[in-house]
Formats: sequence, C-alpha cells, structure tokens
Amino acid sequence: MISKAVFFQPSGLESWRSFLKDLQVEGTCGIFLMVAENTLFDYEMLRPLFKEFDALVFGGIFPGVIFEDVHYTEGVVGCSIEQPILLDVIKSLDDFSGFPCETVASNDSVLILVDGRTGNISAFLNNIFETSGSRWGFIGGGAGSLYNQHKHVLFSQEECIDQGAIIVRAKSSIGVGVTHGWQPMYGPLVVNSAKGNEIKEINWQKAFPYYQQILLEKEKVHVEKANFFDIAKSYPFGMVKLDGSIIVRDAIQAGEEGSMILIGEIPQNSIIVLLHGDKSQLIDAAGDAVKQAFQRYRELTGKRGGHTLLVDCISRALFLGEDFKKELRVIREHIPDTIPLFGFLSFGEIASNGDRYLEFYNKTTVVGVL
Amino acid sequence: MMNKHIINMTKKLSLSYEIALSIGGSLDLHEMLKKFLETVVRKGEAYRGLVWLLEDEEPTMVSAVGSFTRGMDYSAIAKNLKVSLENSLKAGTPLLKTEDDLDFLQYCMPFTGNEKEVLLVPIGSKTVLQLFFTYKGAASQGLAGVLEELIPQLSNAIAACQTHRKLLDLEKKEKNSLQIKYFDLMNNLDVGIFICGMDYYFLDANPAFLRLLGVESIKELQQKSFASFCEVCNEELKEIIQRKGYIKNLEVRIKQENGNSFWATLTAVLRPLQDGHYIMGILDDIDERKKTEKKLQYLATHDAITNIPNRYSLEEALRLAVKKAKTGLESALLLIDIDNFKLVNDTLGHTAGDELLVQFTEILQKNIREGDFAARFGGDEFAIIIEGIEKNEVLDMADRIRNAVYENEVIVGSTRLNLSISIGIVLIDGTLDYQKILSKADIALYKAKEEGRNRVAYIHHSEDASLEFLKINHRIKAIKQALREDRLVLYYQPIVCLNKGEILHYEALVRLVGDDNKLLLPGEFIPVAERFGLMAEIDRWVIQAALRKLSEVPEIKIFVNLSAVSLLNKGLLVSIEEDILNSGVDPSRIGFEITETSAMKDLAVTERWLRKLQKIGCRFALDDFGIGFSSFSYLLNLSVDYIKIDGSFVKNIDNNSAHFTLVYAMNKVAHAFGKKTIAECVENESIANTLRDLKVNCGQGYYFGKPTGNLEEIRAVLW
Repeated sequence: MISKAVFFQPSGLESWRSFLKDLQVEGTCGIFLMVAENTLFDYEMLRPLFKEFDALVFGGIFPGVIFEDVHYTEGVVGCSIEQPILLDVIKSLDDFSGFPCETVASNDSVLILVDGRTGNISAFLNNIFETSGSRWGFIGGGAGSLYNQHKHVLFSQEECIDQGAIIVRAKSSIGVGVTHGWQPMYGPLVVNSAKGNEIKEINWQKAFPYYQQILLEKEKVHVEKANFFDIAKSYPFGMVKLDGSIIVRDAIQAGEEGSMILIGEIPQNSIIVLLHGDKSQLIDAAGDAVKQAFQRYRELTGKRGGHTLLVDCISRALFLGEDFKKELRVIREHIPDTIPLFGFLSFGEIASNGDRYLEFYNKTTVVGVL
Repeated sequence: MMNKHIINMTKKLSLSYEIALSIGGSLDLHEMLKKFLETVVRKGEAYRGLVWLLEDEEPTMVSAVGSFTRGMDYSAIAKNLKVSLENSLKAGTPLLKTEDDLDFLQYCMPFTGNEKEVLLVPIGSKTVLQLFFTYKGAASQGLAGVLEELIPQLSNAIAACQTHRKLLDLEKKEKNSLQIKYFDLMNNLDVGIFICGMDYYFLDANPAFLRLLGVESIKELQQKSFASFCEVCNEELKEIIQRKGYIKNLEVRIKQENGNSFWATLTAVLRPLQDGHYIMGILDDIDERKKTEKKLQYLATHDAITNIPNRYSLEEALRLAVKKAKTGLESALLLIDIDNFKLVNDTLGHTAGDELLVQFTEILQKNIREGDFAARFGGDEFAIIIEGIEKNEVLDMADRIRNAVYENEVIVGSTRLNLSISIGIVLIDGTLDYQKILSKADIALYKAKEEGRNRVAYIHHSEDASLEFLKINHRIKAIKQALREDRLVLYYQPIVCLNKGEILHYEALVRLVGDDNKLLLPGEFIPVAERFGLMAEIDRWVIQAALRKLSEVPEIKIFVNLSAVSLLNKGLLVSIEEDILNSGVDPSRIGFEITETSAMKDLAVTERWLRKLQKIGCRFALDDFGIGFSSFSYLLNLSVDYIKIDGSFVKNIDNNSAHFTLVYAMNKVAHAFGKKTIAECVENESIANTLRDLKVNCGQGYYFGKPTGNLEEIRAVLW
C-alpha cells in the first residue's frame, strides 16, 4: 500500500515542491502528510501547490511526528500511497451516518484522522464500524496542536477543516496492534453521572473531590486544579473490557462544580478503574503492540508487511518524557530493519482489526502494519 | 495479583451492572431494546446483536446493533432463521453455537466470515436475543450467565413496553377520534383560528378566519402577513409575543380584503411546534358587541333627551379640565338653570318640557364655540366648560348666552315660550377638585337666581363659599329685624289711565331700610325672603301697611304684590281677609298683583284666592304678562281684572315691531276676555302715545312717576 515514506523539514515553497515531487512517484494515488505542529505550514500558501499534483493530498497537524525511532515537533513525514484511495472529508462528525453498504469479503484498510478536540467521536466511530466490511482494519488518531498554534488541523487538496474528520480507504490489508501498559490501581468505581466527555460523579460523589481523595489516600499525592495535568497524566481512568483489556481515558481538566473533563467519553453508569503507569511497563507494552500488528498482518496476508505506521499518544510521550525515546527504540527494535517506521503523536488513538468495535483510545500505542 | 483482582471485579461488575441498568428506562420497546442491545454488544464484546420477535408467522427483527446490521434483508434471514429461533424458545435457556458445530450457520445468520460463535438467548415466550462473536470463548466470558440471570427482568421490561404500546395505540385511536372531532369543530366554529410563523405570515387557518378576513383560500392567505389586515396587530403581536409570549383578548380593528373593517378580539400564543415556534391565535368578530358597547357608552355618557353629554360626562370633563388647568390651560365652568322650568312641566306636560329642553340645547349650542363642552347636568340645569378663557371673556360670553335665550322665543307645540336663564360661573385654575368646582358654580348659580334670575353671577374660585352664605344669613337677619322693628317701607308708583290721565291706583312696592339706613330694593331681599320662608310675613306686613295707608288717604286705591309662596299659604289668605275686613277699608280699594308664573304654579290655589278676595270686593292684576310661559289661553282660566303687559315688550315698542305686535296682540286678547290692560315701563311720552293708540288701558312707568314713599309728590305732578 505504501510505496515510500520520507521525513522532511521544509525551508520554503520550493522545498515543499521538490518534497512532494519526490513523493509523487509513478503510480502514486495519494500523499499522506503528517505535519509536526512547529513546522512552518501555511495551508493557504501550499494549497495551489497541492493542487498541482494528481495524487490526492491530505494530512493533519500533530503535536509531533515520528520517523524511524525519532520523534520531531518540527518537520513533515510524507508517504506515498500506491493504491487507489477513497477520501472522505467529514466537516462535522454528526453529519456522518456511515458508509454505503460494502461487500462482505473485501479487505480494506482505513485511516481515520479526527480533530482531537471534537466531541462525539465514539458515535462517529460506531457509525463507521457498523457500516464497514467484515475484513476491514482501522487505524488513526486525533490531530491537533498541543500549543493551539493551528485552528484547522486537517486538510486535503480542496480545503482545510476543523472539528471534522478525514477517512481514507484503500483496498489493502492492515494488521493493527493496540497496547498501553497502564495498570489498575484502584477500583471498581461507578461513574453514576456523566455527559459526553465530562464525568460529574464517581461513586455518587463529585468526581474531582473524590479523585483528589483517592489519590491522597492511595498515593499520598495532592492534586489541585493548578497542578491537575501534571498529576492526572499519571493517573488516568480505565474501562475494562471482557477480555480484560482496558480502554484508557485521560483526564485533562478539573471542570466546574467538581466534574472532570476527559479526552474521549465514558458513558454514564460505566464501571471504571483508576490506573497508574509504570514507565517500563508502558515501554514494554509498546513492543507488544508491534508484535500484535505483525501477527494480524500475517494472519490476513501471509506476508510480513511493507511499512509500519505508529500512532502514539502525546499524553504518553509527555508522561514518559525522555523515556519516550526508549519507547520508540523498543518499537523500532520489534520491527524488521527493512520495514520503515513512521507515524505521529496523537490526541487519542483509533484502532480495530475489524472483528471488534472501533475504539477511541487514550494514552495508547497503536501500530499498523501495511 | 492485585491488578488481576481489580480487573476481574470490574469486568464482572461492569458486565452485570451496566447491562442490568440498560434494561427498562424507556417504555418504547424499540428504544429500550436498542439501548439494552447496545450495552450487551459493547460490554459483551459481541460483533453484532439482534432481537427477534416471534409473534407472527415469520420472525420479526425488532432491534439490531453492530457490524453488518444496516441494509440487510431481514425478512429473508427471518425465513431461514425461523426454526433456529423456535428451537431457542423451546430450549428456554441460552443456546451457544460455535463454528465447530455442524449447524452453526443455521444459527449464525447473517454470516460475514468473521463470526466464530453465536449465542441465542430466549426471553419470555416470543423474543430471542441473537449475539454474534468474532472469537471463540467470547460468550463464555460471563455474558451468557449475566444474560440468563437478567432474562426475567428483561422479559418484564418487554411486557411493560408491549402493554404501554397497547395503551398508546388505544390512546392514539381515541386521540384520532378526538382529532377528527376537533377538526370538525374548528371547521364549523364561527371563531377564526389561525397559525402564523415567526415572520407573521399566515400558515393555516380555519374557514371562519378566511371568512372574517374576506380571503378566498388558504393559499391566498399564505401570501399575507398580519400587517395586511391590521398594522396594530402586527406591532402588538411582535411586541407582546416577544415580551410575554401571549396576547389575550386584545381588541383590534381588522381591515378586510374588500376594505371594510370590523372590530375583533385577538388572542394569540407562542407555541413550539415540530420544527420551530409558531403563533397560534383566535380572532373573534366583536363588531356587533362593539356597536352595542358604543351605544351603551353613548347612553351612559349622554342625555337621552338633548343628546348632549350628561352629568357623568361632565364630571369626567371637569376632571380633565382640572388636570389641564394644572398644566396651565385654564377654563371656566358655566352652570345654567332655566328659570321657572318647573312651570312648563306642570302646565304643558313633560313632553313639552322635554321639547323645550331640546330647543334650549340648540340655542345653547349655537352660542358656544366649537370645542366648548356642553352637558345637561340634570333637570333644567346645564353646564358648559370653556377652555382657555379669562374672566372678562367668560362673563361676556355668558351674558351673550343669557341674552340669546332671553331674546329667542321657544315654540313648544302651539305654545310660544319666552325663556330666561340664570348662569353661575367659576374659573377652573387647577386649585380645586371637580366637586368643589361644581359646588362653587352651584353657589354662583344660586347667587344669580337670588339676584332676580335672568342673570349671570360669578364666583372667584378662591372665594370662600361660606362668605356667600354669610351674606345670605346677614340678609335674612336684616329682613327679620326689619319686620320686627318695622323698618320695611312702602313706595308707591301710580298706574295711570292712558285716555284720561287719571291715576287708577298705586302699586305698593316694598323697600327695606338697612342698618345704614340705605334702602334695599325688592330684588335685593325678596329672593332671600322667598327662599327662606319670609315672604308670607312680608306680604302680610305690606297688606297691613297698605290698609293703613288707605285708611289715611281715603281717595286712593292700592295694589300690593302677592308672592308665589304666599299664594300657597292658606293661613295667610285667611289672615289677609281678616285684616281687610277688620281694617274698615272698602275692600274694593285694595287689589293684588300676582305674577303669571306664581299663578301658574297652582292654578286651583290661585283661583281660590281670587274667588275669596274678589268675593269681598278686592281686585286682581296678572303681573309680568308676556314673559316666561304666558299663554293667552290661560287668561281664560284666571278671573283677574287687569293684565299687566311686561315692561320688556313695552319699553321697545317704538323700535321693535315684534314687541309692538306682541303688545298689540296681548292687549287685544285681554280685552276680548274682558280684562283691562296695564303696560309696564312706560318711560316716555312716545311710548305712552303708542300704547294709547293701541287702546291699552293704563300705563305705569317713570313717565308717569317713579316709585316714591311720598304720595303727595305723585299727586302734585299728575294733578
């Protein structure tokens, strides 16, 4: 599916032109651009250039991009897609009710890029899953700017959008692996009152004071509104699935009247646990994601894969700090040398091998083998 | 270890708690099942979930969640799946089939290739839950057990939804029947019902509304907004709807398509309907009611006889005048009373009285400015409010009105009436309330009457009314004191025979000598004496004094005036008769003058006096004839000897042909009835000559002699 992946640090329009020309090799149907948020990127200036190319150009702005075992906050990773693609630009997630009915047996790989700040992502993903083919694999994540430098974080040749999504489909297989390494430290807890990505009450008490109380009792950690993100990034919530896997929900803000704001939703009446991260466990888990992805790809195709797309959570990178490099090295080590690794840091991750519901993850490593 | 323990606990709790909570919560079967199924599929890690209902011949899919649930041909699947679903119901417990089972595909429909297990859970006797899994062992992770435990609860919830559905259907049927009734009612109502959008353009209406506006069709109506029919409505609608959300019984003027307009009440309310807000309203034609109301209001505020505003309106107008005066626009109130009006009612009947009031009103209206306010205050009292006028101007105006009335004859039926009016005036400067103003005007009117009627009296608004009463009180005291101290004096004026120049008799005129020895004329104290019951005493004193004079001066005859009130005093008649008889004076030397108006008050009583005193030889004269309501026909009914033609006709006889004619006529008729005539106010020789030419018998006036206390003076002049 991917014929080429290149890292590039633009120095002007001409450098962009030569970069894109380099990607536009014979048979290229699409060019996926992952732009790190500190890159000099002016969509309006570049749009005429994008239009010069026959291939469908699309992409997003992310807190960082990954090329091989290094992550960059400035620079662009571009990859050429050698198969025909279907590109859907969704301006509002609520407007998307699903794909037209697809044939059961097709093997599609689907890349989903959403604006990470958008609400109602879960319903959007449900609509995708329920109208997808039975052998589709999904990978994607939330675009966005950590420092709010960009309003429009998704773009195509035609337009740039915010609060929307881009869906790219290709007739090819993808093996997806998902892990995070976060461990339960306290629970179960009942989210008895929640709306969207805001949880109001836990165990019938106001969410934030209760969260403060647990952290103080169990970890001797004081969390206040002022130091919220610094502390909360180490203590996310988790929803436990039947197979024992956990979907992480990152708390990013103490809300009004004792509520807590998350990235992603926790439905009301959910049973959750409080998680804690051990850096080495997280890094080890990332390696497992690679293994899962390659295994799935082999199951689907009998081949070992051509490229590896990594979608790693920015919150995870922030939590790991310098150790994030270790995580990338571990991931790289699990990938055969000849298979390139590229990807982006995301605000929430999307993944499914098609046999399970599409989930919107937090603090998770998603690896796709294409 | 700890982690696993937490995960296991959470997993179990999550599965059972969240699924259990998803049951119920809605009485809509599809909604409830969808929520339940979503939770089961998501929490149970299912690939897909379906709920089948086996009520009819073929199973019906009632809810579907998960992969490949949209766009499937469920009726085809139902046919193939029917037996499997029935087997599940027969089994009565969850039935698990894996891809290893030979009949797996009979139960795993639809099959997409990913499915590894399918779980069929019977719920009650007609419902089957079908769950698909993409990996082996998924159903056994606890979901099957949880579902088995929840079957009774779910079964009850489904039954509740079905019962609710039946109730809803029943309700819907009733509602439909009600809706038909409402529709029928709306179409047949006479009241206009409409719906318009927030842009005030009509959307729908009933036939009555179209009729009211004169619009042919709904389509035509939809091209129009409320502004097309009523600008006020539109503004009011906007204002009130935006502020209050409703309008209740707002009276509006609606202009129809053909230009006609009518009054209606508008009731409207802002309602949320389907996809926005609409205004629903009722328009009720109240034109007839309005007309009746207007009529009633007119009747309530206007006098039925004269058609001018009544007392109620006057009070309102006065309130307004006071309000305006406070802002600097002063005005004046004139209170008008028709002198001796009661006589008309008593003698000519109430119909004639009413006719007189109508004619009087016409005279009044002709003599006031446009914009001045005239009202009938009650009985024979009228009021005029004149805006922006000063004292001198209002006095002039009042006198003009008085004069106009005085100089215009009123013809009621065949009777010609000469009216006079008294006017009381007070200025409205905002310092007094309307009641005090009315009270002041009443005092002014009283003053005008007291001063002899046919007069205008003015009271300053700040003048203390009590002063007026003090004055009256003082006058009463003076009269009583004069009677006690014998300080009344008689003056005499000769009545001269025009042909011979002889004095026929003298008219005795009473004067009152005040504290300061100043003589008060009758007009200054007689009205007070009349009003406060002193006339009989004065009349008795006058007769006694005249009898004394007759005793002193044997060759003369004296006529004294009998007031109206005295005529009604039976005791006085007896006393006078006794006084005459006891005086020794020949009764034929004494005569009585009664005014026509006094006589008319009670003709029978007057006749009794006449007969009684004429019987002993006394003579009678009818005074002031021609003014007021004199009618020649009445002369027949009174056995008086003399008719005294009122001076107002006489003094202008040489200059006013009408007066000349009247005097001529009065004289002729009097003679025809055998009465002798006396002309009053003969002020010069020319008048005397004219009267003589007209064959008037006698004259009285300055030409022949002013009233004097000294009889010798007169006699010396004449003889």
